[in-house]
Amino acid sequence: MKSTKDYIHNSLNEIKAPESLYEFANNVPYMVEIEDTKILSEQSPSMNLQVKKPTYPNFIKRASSAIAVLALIVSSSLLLPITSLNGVKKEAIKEDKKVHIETSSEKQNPTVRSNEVSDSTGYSLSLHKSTKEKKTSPFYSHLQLKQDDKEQNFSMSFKDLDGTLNNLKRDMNFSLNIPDPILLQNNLNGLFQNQGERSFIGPNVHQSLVTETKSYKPNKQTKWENENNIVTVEEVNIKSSHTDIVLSQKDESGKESISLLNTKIALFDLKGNMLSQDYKPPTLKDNGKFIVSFPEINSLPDHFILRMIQTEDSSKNIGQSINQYQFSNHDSYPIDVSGTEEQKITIQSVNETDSSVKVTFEITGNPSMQHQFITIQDEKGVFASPIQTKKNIQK
Amino acid sequence: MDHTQELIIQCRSGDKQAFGQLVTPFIQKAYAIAFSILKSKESAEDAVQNSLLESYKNIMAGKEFRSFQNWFFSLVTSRSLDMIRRYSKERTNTEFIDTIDTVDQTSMPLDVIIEKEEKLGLLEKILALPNIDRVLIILYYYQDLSIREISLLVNLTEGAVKTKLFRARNKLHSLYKSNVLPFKKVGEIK
Repeated sequence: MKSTKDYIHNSLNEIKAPESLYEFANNVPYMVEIEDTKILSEQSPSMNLQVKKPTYPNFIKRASSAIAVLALIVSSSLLLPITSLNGVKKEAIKEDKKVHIETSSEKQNPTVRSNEVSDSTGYSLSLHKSTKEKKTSPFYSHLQLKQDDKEQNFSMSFKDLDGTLNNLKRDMNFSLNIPDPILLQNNLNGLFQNQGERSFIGPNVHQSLVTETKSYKPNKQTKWENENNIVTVEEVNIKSSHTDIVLSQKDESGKESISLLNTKIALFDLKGNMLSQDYKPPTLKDNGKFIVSFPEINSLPDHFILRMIQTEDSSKNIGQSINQYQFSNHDSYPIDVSGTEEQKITIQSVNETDSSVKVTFEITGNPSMQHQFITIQDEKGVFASPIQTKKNIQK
Repeated sequence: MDHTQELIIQCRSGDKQAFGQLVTPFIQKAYAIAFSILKSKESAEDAVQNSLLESYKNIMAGKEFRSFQNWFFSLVTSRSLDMIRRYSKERTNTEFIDTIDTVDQTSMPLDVIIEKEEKLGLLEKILALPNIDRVLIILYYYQDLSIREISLLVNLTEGAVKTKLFRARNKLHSLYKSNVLPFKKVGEIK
């Protein structure tokens, strides 16, 4: 005889699950992976790092298997050789080396952890805000480099001084010295979805990583003329790892030399926000030129300002502002400003002083009377006409 | 090592098909649990889907299961109860007919038809019970949970569960006696 349990079992077994549920079950691993990727990319910038219990909107849950698989393919291509375990921790294995990138759910600070590192010399980590963020905030992060005695792991954590740490992928800029920077970059790219600015310099591959050096020359060269001496900012060299500023000092014979020893330099954007971490003093090189390096800067905005101050106490930044120089990306001349086949105008150089602007340009193509009426207009609407023209007629 | 455990290990090793193989045998009952608690197709699907997602994440996070099947059903129950607590009103039973397997009964033998009607009649009565009564009946008779396990799920003392379960049985009995079906085979409910 059937029991109550049997009757109820039989009765409830009449309820049939919809086919979509079976389909859903088969797609769960793909959906979770996609969701992990999504949550990770949302959590990384916030770095609140609270474990957010994911909710699954119906549109995600009802996604067809085709969409899920397609999305997986797309997301997999972004993730590089990384397997995601729970959306918080990532691990990659390459050439028998492991690098763990962790964003701790308990700590507020992101942690980069690397093990199997063969060469610990020259390790350094700096973390600072990207160029964009520097415009609005001069705060930077402190770094810590620890060695875990037991696991021989290097744990590098950094803390944002302004306490926000809200947008790591957008607002932070890593500079790491490790032997295998490519591997770490891959990991960070996976973690932060290829966003943000990161550069990595390893002792073994330093040269290969420095791909391009951008040189800026001041387009408004206000010379520092202190009595008998002239200090000129020759150029600003921006490499992938750091920024060097090259200064030269010209002493007129028989006149007393001035010293750059108590001089400090910093870079600012046009709104006056400091781009470098601090004012820094230049050092004298063998070629007689002075160089000041900013390892935290590997990119600059289109326009920026170099400021020099002179202070009696080198430990302080309070001092007399002695000069400033303005730079822009347009220092890399020539610039083509018109583009027809018949007529082409190329600006060869722009040299600006306090009293004048010298623009050298070349016009190629068919000579035209209109060239006599060429004017130059600056952003404020000030016009200038050529005061000297040279005509080179190609034979 | 049983098959379930093997599939769990395969899941963790990255075999994405293993999860489907693992849970497919349990989906029917999981949905029945969710639907009988929630009385809504859509809500039941949501409850099961969320449970499936949660299950997979637990597996991948390394959770150990004494019995995955029981744990999964408990999870579905728990998620369904969470949802029903959010409902201010009881749902009507309008989706009932859509949920059962509709088969052309004209080709069936009479005893099969009667048996099916009997099952559906009882199901209808169960679904007509108030929330707490229905949930207790399902947990006790369909999920085979102990009084203690039920008390933990529904946040009641074991004594309260026993009392309410007794009343729920009586209500079901009364409903059945009051009746719709011509054949009252189920005269006794333990």
